[in-house]
Amino acid sequence: MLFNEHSNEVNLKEPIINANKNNGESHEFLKISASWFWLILLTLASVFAGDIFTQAPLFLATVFFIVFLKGQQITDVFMELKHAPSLWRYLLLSYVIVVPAILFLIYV
Amino acid sequence: MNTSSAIVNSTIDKKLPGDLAMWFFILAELTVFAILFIGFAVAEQMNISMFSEGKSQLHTTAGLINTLALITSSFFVALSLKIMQSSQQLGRSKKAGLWLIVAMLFAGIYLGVKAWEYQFLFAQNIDIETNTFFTLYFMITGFHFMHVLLGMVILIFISVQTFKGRYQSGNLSGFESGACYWHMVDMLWIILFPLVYVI
Repeated sequence: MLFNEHSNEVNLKEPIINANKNNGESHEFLKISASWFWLILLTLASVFAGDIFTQAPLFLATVFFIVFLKGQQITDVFMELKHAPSLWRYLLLSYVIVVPAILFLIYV
Repeated sequence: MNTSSAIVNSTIDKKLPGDLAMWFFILAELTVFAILFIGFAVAEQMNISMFSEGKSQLHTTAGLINTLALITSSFFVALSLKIMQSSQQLGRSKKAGLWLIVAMLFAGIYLGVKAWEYQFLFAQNIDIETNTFFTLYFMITGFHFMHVLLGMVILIFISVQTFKGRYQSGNLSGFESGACYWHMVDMLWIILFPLVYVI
């Protein structure tokens, strides 16, 4: 009887574990898909930014800010550095901040 | 007890994906490209009319297609890695390998469009010696092109290993290293594209 009870408990838990695992996978898939969609939108926005912003500094600021947003997505979601040691995450994030900032200062 | 286990879990979770050596390599590559990008911007400020004329001879649509292709390729590589991280069963490995092939197909679009762009410019007698703009254009985009080629070789290697089930033991370090290199190539293009085609 005890054995049967124990056996039932295992049988009941297994689908729950699998369901949680599937939910986790679905969540991760959605996260990557959303990131891809966001990157596509940002790319299109940077191409058409010239039509919206006629003033050069505003246009440049928009384009380089979009570069930062895209870099942040790649760093945190695609490269999975959001869950990596902070030093490495900040190194990569600083790259997509510092380089566009220098380029902005050169162009403006 | 709960607090200490949470600390242990957070320490375990804070893991750098891939090999440390690959990350130093990525940092070195990013630095080289940063110098090239800044050099391009400075040269543009010294020859504004030449760069403006040079940029008008480029195809923004081709640049846009390449950006979309590389982003989508990166997406499939990330997806493939997620599948492998969730389970290393043989069936899952094959699925992950298939997504890597799709990623390579999108990378192939990038290579094809870029080759067409070069061919288009050569047909107009424009090459690396035409002027400073095209010297820098061919140098930076050509260097990036070679990185995409190397990335594809890495992706081929990873996909072969995936199909053979070599990552089933749970050690995904090689897979993660290759994936991160590919994302770096994507990240570089994200800066290169507006710099050369949009601004």
